[in-house]
Amino acid sequence: MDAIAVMLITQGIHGLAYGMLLFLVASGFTLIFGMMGILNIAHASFFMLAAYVAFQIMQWSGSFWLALLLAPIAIAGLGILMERLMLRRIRKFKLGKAVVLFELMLTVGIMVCIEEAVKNLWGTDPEIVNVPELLRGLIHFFGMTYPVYRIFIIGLSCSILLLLGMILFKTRLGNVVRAAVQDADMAGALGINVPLVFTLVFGLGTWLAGVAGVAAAPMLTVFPGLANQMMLDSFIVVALGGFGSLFGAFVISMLLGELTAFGIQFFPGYSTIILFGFMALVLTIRPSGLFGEKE
Amino acid sequence: MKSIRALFPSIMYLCLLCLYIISGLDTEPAIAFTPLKADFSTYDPNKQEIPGGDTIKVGLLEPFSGQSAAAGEISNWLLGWVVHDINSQGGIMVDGKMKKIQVIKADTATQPVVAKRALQRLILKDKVDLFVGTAGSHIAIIGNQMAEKYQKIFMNYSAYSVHLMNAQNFNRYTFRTCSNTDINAKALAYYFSKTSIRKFYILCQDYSYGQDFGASIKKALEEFVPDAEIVGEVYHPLWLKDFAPYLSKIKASGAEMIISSDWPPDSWNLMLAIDQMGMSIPVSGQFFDDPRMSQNLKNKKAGLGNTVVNFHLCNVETELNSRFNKIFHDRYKDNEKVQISWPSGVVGGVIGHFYWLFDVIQRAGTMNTEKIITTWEGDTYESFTGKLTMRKCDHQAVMDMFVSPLVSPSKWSKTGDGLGYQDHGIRIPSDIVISPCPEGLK
Repeated sequence: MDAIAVMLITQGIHGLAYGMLLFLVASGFTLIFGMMGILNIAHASFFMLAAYVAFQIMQWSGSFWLALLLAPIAIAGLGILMERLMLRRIRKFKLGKAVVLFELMLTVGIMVCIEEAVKNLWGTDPEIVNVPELLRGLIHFFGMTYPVYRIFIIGLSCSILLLLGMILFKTRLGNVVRAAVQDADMAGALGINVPLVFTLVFGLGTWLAGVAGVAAAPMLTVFPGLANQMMLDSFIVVALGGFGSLFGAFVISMLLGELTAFGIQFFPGYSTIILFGFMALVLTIRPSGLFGEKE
Repeated sequence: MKSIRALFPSIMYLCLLCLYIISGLDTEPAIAFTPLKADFSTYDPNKQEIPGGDTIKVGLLEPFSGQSAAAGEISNWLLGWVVHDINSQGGIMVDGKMKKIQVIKADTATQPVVAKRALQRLILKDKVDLFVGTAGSHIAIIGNQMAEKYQKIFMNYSAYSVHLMNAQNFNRYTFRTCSNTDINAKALAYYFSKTSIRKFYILCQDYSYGQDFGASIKKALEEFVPDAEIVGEVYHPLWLKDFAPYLSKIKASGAEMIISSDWPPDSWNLMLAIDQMGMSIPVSGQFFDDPRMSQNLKNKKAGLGNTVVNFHLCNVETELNSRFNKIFHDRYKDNEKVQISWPSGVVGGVIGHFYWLFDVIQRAGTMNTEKIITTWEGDTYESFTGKLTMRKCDHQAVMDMFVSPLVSPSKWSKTGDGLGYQDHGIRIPSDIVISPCPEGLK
């Protein structure tokens, strides 16, 4: 294969890997918004916290796999507590449309708390999470080489996308969740424990942020600014894909990943303009996002 | 005889008076601090003593939140080292009193608007005598402006953009003790002129410092390595998430060396990406020697040959530097939390520059801004790696520069056998790297 083809394919895979990582972060964000109508600004902070928890687990056990298993569960637990003890209480006050504003403020507060806690617990120095031995090194194909870990991220994200789709659209649990979201009062009247469903959805959303945090940790240094680093991109994905649309989040993540990679290759000085220009264009033509509902 | 006896007390009194006047002519204060005298085994930047009473208030303008918070904590650590040393010796004699130094932190969050507010608080509310900083040339420019507006000394020890001290931005209250982008670029280019490396790729952050460094290195390569080929030039957004697409582009360009002005976390993420992509291309710049990053590289080729340029390196042999190295290393060699066990470039250099600042104040003998300015202008100070001179025309410190490639095994690594500086740093004399005073200075 000639050098230009190798370069183009490599850039394509870079875009895919970054897009998949972005999707992992954004999927939890859009899931929570789509199902519960909560714009969880603290989502990226959960992502960062997961990276730190993974770092800590690896310090203690040396096992990335244990970190990948436990850190997202810990983050989901924290998310569930947040929903049960804080967000649910706000909803009880019957604040009408203003509830969205109060929820937003609450999640901003939690975001700041997480960032400060991280600084106090781990300090401000960047930390490095090593790629596990099994995923270290390069894979060779068609005369190209590519890092195994990035392929792993693509695979992990695809698996999670499939799993999510199956749970939501092919299982009874998925039917219950979708019913509760469609009409909470009716679902409640039919005996569905709606608050429990919402707690589960919030837990699942934060678990996704946790998985993304652990997966991203070996690719990026772990430091208190990590949340801000991912926040804007994941917000763009959710807004352009349509708030609440998992499929939209997936498509936009891929588009963003590829636009970034090829933008750097061909128009390096303009890659940011291309990205935000694309955002402006989509929001002008379709303010609800490419796959969002008009409501 | 009786009259002589009667005059004796008066003669004695006159003699004493003369002695007093003569001693008063001596500008050196009676008590002076000596660098590196304190017991550093107890020094902890997180448990710094806050001296009471009449103190010298020094504002520390740095990011303590946001992406660059680590830079602020490092500066606090370095300034704290010097303050701990001086305060444990009783402080500095100024305006007829021994005063201890009090550090007051101000968070810039690396945002100009936040930095301006933080500085106003430092100057108007905390009433600092002077302030020091700061990470980010776009923040240092705010420091320049505020120093001039409120007539406070601003010591810039870590913002390198050459434009900060040009005719447009210079003011007599700001002193830059670190090098600048022109100096760093010339030192690197001079070093490369002695090697066989000829294909360079410029990769810098897309803001004033990165842009300035890019322009400086192109000019310096033209001057010192006329046959150099710049095979690519890219400016990336600050705090980039993924360097992989840039590296693929660089790989295709056939570059032998990346020249980059990136600082953490970008410099760390760039090295991690090189490591994970199995690349062996070295990077040269100021911040590619951090042992906290290099000891985590798994690909044995990554980082090897990285070429570091700085105004201080621990592998430069001078008597004072050896003493400093020993004290620093004894303090941190067994410290699990601090991975920097040798005072690498920026760490050692900035500590040296803080000693210079307080030495100037000590010799001025006052906190009067005008007196400090006249004492510092044209001043020469013997720091760890050699002589520092404050050029009067533009308040830019003039000093020898140092370059060192990274090798493995290196005695300067934390473990003693990992990636680190080569045994001895290469000294590049100041007259090779310094540019003439900028035109149009008032």
